[in-house]
Amino acid sequence: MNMQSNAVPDSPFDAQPVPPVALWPIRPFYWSVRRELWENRSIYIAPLAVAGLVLLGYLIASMGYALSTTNMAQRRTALEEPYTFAMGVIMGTAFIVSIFYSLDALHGERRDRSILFWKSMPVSDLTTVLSKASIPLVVLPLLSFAIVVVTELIMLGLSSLVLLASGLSVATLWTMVFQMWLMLLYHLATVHVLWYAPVYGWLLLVSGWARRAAFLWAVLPWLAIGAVEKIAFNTWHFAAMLGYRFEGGPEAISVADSFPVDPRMHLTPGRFLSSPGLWIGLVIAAAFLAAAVRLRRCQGPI
Amino acid sequence: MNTESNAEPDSPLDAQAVAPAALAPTRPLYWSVRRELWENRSIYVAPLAVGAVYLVGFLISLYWLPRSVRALATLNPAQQILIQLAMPYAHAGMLLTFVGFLVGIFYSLDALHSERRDRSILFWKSLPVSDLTTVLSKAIVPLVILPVLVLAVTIPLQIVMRLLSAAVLLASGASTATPWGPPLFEMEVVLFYGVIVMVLWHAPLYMWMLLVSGWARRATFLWAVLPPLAIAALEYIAFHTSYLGLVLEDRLFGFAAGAFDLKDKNGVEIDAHFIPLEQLAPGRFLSSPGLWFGLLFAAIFFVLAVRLRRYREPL
Repeated sequence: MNMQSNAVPDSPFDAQPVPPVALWPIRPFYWSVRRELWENRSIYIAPLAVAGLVLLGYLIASMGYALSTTNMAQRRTALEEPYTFAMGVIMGTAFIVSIFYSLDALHGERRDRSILFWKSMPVSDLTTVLSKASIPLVVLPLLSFAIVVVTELIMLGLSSLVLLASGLSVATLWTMVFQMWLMLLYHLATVHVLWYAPVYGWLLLVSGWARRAAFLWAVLPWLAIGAVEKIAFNTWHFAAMLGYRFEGGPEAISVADSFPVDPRMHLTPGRFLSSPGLWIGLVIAAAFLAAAVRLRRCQGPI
Repeated sequence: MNTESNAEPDSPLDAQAVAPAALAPTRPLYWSVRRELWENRSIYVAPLAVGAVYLVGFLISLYWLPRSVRALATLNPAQQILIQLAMPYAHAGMLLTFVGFLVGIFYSLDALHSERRDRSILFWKSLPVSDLTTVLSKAIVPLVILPVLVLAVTIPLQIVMRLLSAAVLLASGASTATPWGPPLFEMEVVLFYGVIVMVLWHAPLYMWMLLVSGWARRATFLWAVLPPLAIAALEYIAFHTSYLGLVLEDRLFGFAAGAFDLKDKNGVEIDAHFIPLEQLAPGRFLSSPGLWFGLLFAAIFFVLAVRLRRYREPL
C-alpha cells in the first residue's frame, strides 16, 4: 500500500524522488483526475462541439440577419438575443454528460477489467472515487463555464464590430452579458454543484454496484417507489420530493419560473444556505460517496 | 464458416446431430436470442420486478377499496365512474409499457457495444453465426421479446388485481351489483393494440440506438442523443424554426395521436385512462406516412448495423 516499502533504495538517486511523492497526497488525486479526462474525452468534446454549433448558428442567423436588415432596433435585438440560448444549450449538454459520465465511471473500469490495473497502483479507493466525483462536481461546471465565456466572448466581439460599425453603443450589451456570466457562476455553484450533489453521488454508487444495466438500476427503483405510493395511498409525496430535487434549488433565487441567468433575478444565497433541503442533500451525497468508496474495495471485474 | 467442415463425422451419431443444425437456419437465430436473454437478464427481470412492486402497492390500496367504491356511487356521469375504476389498471399498463420502452432503449444502446467492450465479440464471431443473424437477434429483443413480455406481465397482473378487488369487495359485504372494475377484456384489447402500435412507431429509435451502439467507441448514449439535439438547436438558432424538434417529438409521442381518435364523436377529448374500443383507429395508423417512413429508416439503420459489425473488433 505504501510506495516506500516497495521501493528498494539501492542508490541515492532512487531514494530521493520517492519521498516527495509519498508526502504529497494531492499528486495521486491530480493524476487520477487527468486520467479521467484522458479516458472520457466526451467530458470536453461534447460541450466544445455544441459550442461550435452554437457559434455556427449565430454566424448564419444572427449576424446574417443583422447585416441584412437596415432597421437599427431590429439589428440590435437580433444581436442581443441569443446569449441566453447559447448558455442554456452548453449547460444542458454538460449536465447530460455529467449524468452519463457518473453512471459509467465505476462501471466501465470493472467491465473492461482495467480495475485490476488501477487497483494495483498505490492510489486508495477514496482518491479514485473522489477523483471520479470531482468530474461532475468541479471539472464539468468550471469547464462549461469557461466554454460559455469563450463562446460568448467571440459572439460579443463579432456583434460589437457590427454594432459599432452601424453607430450603435455596445455598453448595454456588454453589461448584460457580464451580469449573465455572474449569474451563471452563482447558478452553477448553487444548483449544479451543491443542489445536485446527491444525484451524482447516487449515480456513482449505482455505477459501482450494478453488474449490468446501470441506468435501469439508477432510475427504476425511484420510479417504482413513486408508483407504489401513488397506487397504495393515492398521494404523490415521493414524486414531489424528487421533483423538488430536480427543479434545482428554488431557494437560491427569488423569482422562480424563469431562466436562472435572467439579470432581473434577485440572488438569495442566505436563504439557500439555510434551507434544510441543501444540507440534507449534502449529507445524503456524502453517504452515497462513502458507500461507493467502501464498495470499490470489494469489487472486481465483471 | 460451416459447422460441417469442422465436424468430423467419424460416427453416425455425430453426423446425424450435425446435419439438422445446418439445415434449419432459424436454429442459430433461436439460440442467439436465448443468448441475449441469458446475458441481459434485465430484459425480463425489470418488468417482472416493477409488476411485483406494483402489485404490492395495489395490495396496500385494497384496504381503502370498499370505502372508495362506495364513494364512487355518488359520482354523476357513468363515464366518470368508469375512469375512476379503470385508473389502477391503466396505471399498471402505462408503467409497464414505459419500463419496457426504457429497457428497450438501454438494451439497444448496449447490445453491440458491450460485446466489443468486454472482448467477447472475438468469441461470438468465431462461431458459425452470421452478422445478420446476430444483429437480427439483437433487434428482435426490443421489437418482439419486450412487447410480448410487457403484455405477458401486465395482463396477468390486471387479472390478479381484478380477482383481489372482487374478493375484498365481496368480503366487505358489498352487493354483487357494485361496480368493481372496468369492463372485462376491453382494456386488455386496448393495451394489446397500444403496445403493438408503440413498438412499430418506435422501431426507428431502437434501430438507431443499435446502430450507434455498434459504431461508437465510448459514451453511446451521448452519441445517440446529442447529435439530433445539437442539430435541432442549430436549426432553432439559425432559422428560428424547430422542424427537427417537432419531428423528434412526433417520433417519441406521435403514436398516440396517430393510432387513437383522441376526441369522441361529440368532439370531447377522451380520458387516456379508459379508451373505448371505438376510439381505436388502426386503419388511419397503418396508412399514415409517418409509420412507413419510420419503418424505412429502421430498415436502413438495421442494414447499416449489420454491415458495420463485419469490421468491428474489441475496443
